[in-house]
Amino acid sequence: MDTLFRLVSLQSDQSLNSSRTSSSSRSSRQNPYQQEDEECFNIFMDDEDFSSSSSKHYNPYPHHQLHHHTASNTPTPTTTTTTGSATPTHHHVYDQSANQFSYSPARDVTLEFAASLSGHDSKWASDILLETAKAIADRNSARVQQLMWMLNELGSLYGDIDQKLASYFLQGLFSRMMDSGDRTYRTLISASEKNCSFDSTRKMVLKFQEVSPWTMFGHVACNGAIIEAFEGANKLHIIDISNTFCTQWPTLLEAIATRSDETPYLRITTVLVSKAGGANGGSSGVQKVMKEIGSRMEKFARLMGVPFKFNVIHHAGDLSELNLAELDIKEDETLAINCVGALHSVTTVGNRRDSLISIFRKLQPRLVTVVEEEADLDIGVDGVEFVRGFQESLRWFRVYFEALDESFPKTSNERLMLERAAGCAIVDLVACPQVDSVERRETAARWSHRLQGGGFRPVSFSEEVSDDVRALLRRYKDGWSMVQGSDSTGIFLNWKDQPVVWASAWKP
Amino acid sequence: MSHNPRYLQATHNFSLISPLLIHNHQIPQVIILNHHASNFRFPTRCANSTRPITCQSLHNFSCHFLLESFLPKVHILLIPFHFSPIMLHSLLPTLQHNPKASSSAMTSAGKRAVDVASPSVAEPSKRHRTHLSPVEKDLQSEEEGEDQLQAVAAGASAREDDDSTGLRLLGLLLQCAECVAMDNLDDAGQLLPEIAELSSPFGSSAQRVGAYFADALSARIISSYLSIYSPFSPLCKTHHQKLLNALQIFNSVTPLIKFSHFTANQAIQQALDGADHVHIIDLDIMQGLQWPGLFHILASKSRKVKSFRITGFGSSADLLKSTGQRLAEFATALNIPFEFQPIEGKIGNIKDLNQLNIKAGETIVVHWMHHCLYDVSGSDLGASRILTMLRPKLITIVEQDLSHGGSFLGRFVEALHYYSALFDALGDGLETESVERHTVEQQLFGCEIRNIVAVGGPKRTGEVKVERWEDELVRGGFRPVSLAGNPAAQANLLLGMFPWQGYTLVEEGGCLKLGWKDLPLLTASAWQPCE
Repeated sequence: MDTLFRLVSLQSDQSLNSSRTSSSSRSSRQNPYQQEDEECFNIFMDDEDFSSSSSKHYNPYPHHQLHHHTASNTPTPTTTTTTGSATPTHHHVYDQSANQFSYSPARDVTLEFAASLSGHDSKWASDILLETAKAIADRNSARVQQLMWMLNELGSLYGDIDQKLASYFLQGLFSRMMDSGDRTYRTLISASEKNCSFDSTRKMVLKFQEVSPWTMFGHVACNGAIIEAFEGANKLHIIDISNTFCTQWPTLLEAIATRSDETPYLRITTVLVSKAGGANGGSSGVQKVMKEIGSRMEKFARLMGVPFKFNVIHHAGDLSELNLAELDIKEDETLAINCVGALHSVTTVGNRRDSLISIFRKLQPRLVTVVEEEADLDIGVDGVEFVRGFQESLRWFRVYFEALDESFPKTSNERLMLERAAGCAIVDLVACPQVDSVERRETAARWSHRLQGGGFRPVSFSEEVSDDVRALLRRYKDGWSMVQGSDSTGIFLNWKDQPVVWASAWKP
Repeated sequence: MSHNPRYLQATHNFSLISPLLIHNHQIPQVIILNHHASNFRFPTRCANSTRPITCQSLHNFSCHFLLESFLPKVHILLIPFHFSPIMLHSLLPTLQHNPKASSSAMTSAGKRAVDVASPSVAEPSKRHRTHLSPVEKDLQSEEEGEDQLQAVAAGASAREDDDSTGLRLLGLLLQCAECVAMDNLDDAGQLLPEIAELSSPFGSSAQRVGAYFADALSARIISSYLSIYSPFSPLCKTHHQKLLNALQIFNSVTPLIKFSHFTANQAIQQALDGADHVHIIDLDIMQGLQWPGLFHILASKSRKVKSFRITGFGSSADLLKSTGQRLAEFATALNIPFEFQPIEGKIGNIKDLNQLNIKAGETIVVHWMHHCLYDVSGSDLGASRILTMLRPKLITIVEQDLSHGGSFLGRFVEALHYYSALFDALGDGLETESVERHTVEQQLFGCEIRNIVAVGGPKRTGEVKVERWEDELVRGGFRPVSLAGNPAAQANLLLGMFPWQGYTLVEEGGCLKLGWKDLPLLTASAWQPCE
């Protein structure tokens, strides 16, 4: 029953892949030492490792001279000892070259982080990563190289939190160095979308809800506020700009179905935003998932006896450029706009975030609900601004990874999917041009400022809604709590005293 | 037979794929994997090659037969001759329907199976483990005796998704490795996200193997760009502790470590017959788990040793100290006059035999357990020189059946093969969500795979590696001691004592090989000086 969705046909994928790679490997840059076809064979031979890799060099700043290690240029012996001619003299020669090669490039950096690495409760990944960001800001390429080497050696996508952070942030920093952030991001997104299925998505979302209030917190708060705002109205329309796969709506449908007065007519228009130009054919996976979700929603509404219409809009590009006509808002509808993690997908360049808010204002909604993760991830392009934003990203993703780590079992594919998504976000933040970024979160204070500037006033959540949220948090492990925002602007979900998610409601 | 392993993947027309290999007449064998490919055309250049193409299906059909009858339906992967179906076992679940097919294909001349004390056959289905649904088990029994190719095809259609994932994963990994071998790091990097997406450290054996190889390839690509190839080993206790913890788990969930301890100890105790003063040199002692067993053996003999010394090499002084203390406690309890001599360093880097503090009249035994977690020996040639000069009464060696040198691509394919079997073996009896399984895979296998895939191979130094230690030892004036007697019996006993199935023990030229479903994983051998 849940297997309606299937992976993209194996055959087309495979032929695509093999032909792509076969042509690319042929057209690939040849090793300068081996030009003839005949000699190409050599690169499969014994010492190809060193000869080919020594032709590689990485130069973060082309105008800077990169510190080259003797190691990479050391010619490697071309014979092995199995030839039977090994003599003491040979040994001597070999030993010498061995010594040259095993020259340790980073004795000093090793010592620098020795304490951090051996500490019991250490956060070595954050320490090394922050130093790397500083070295990047200082354009100290030799140091960047050594620190990246450490991160590469120590990191692992499947290890502990520090190893994961090291790995995901290294990917970001590395893409930044290679100036390939955009491409890396697209490859990551298209790989994940290609393998995205309704089943895996459903499992991931449900498991996340089961073990952590991260998403449910916003759902419960917003649904409470929306239901209260919709009281008395009988033609309802929710513009749902979110990435939570409609998991918010079943409880709302239930609440509406049990309303004391006449059951109203409900429309939900879900807007899914993806980066412009990205995800060409890849988003077909997401489209299929949403189609399946839509039909399930309709089925559920029928079951509940709620007259219901569901619509999905796939919007590629910045949210502020959304074609409002597509929303098909009717004169007689009571409108609510529900934004979950939507505002931070708008670019920080220009005044797009404020202009989106004024667009919302023009739609004259009865209510706007905003859920955002509480962080200030406006990473600057360079220098001190970059380091500051990078440091905040490190803090934020460590909290996120820790929360995931304590909520999920140790060997969970669902957690892995969430971590991978975070990895994409890190590439976006660290390596992609600011104008294309969809991950630059802001703090509640800044959002409130923007919303108030756009002609909205905050609506506090009623005592009833707050009670619902507290009841929700009791279902999870210790460590979660709810805290009121200042000036009645929303509520925070705290994890171990750190605010992580902010939910708020606004009226024009 | 070529020692340059080659693979070729063919979906539709493989002449497109590797003109390079065809040009060099490196024509590998053909193994039928699946039935997805259509419009398959055999490249004429390949057909005209001076070297005959050997096609090996699971059933040894002739090439013609293949071409005529099955080609429209088969998916073909060309892989090197030594690339046995074991790998496909874990990468392609379909083939697990036919253990007989794979084992018959595996039986090769020159190997004498040691009669493994057959463990109880109470649970024959255990071998096929939990990932076979009841329906598939039915399929399996119905197909007994039927054409195995058909069985494979039927199985495949039943689990097309799993298959296609395994197959895509294998194809992508090989493509990525080929890009790395061609120094085309950019394209290789672009393939990684999809490989990662298809794989998972908490999935099927195939997905797990894929996850760690993708991780290793990614690390290699980055280090190639950075031009720093040496490994980084944080000299901290927590790191060592994690590693040792994982090794202990590994020791308890597979017979592999026990196998090496048992066989080596048996060979050692035979060599120590009549010795009064014993000096064992363990080239990588870690926690010294092996030696309490030997203490027991010696304590149970009527003729007692007068002194017993262990020299343990290791990278951490702290760890060596606690290992020494633990061993001393064991020895005291058994009334063995024991002395521990820690050496922080590597045998190959020792310049002077005096550092080993050899005393006159000592019977010296050297024990060396190979692995790819880190560099144990330092300079291989230095190690060889020291061993030759030392001329110990016995050298016991436990090696992985995995080459540690050679070309990147060869190493990669071989390791993929080896670790597929190893992951499969570890998964036997452990759930997908098992934390122990994850710990061993992540801490040990993942680390080894990284080192093997890294520039420079497992040791990750630019120096010359000894490819085959047996040759090196023979050159150094040693000859093999057969382990066929007592040690083999001990190893048999070990396998019989535990619930593991699927492990196979083979004696080959005096060496003992412990394998998983016929793929050798560890080889134990013993050496003594020629008179």
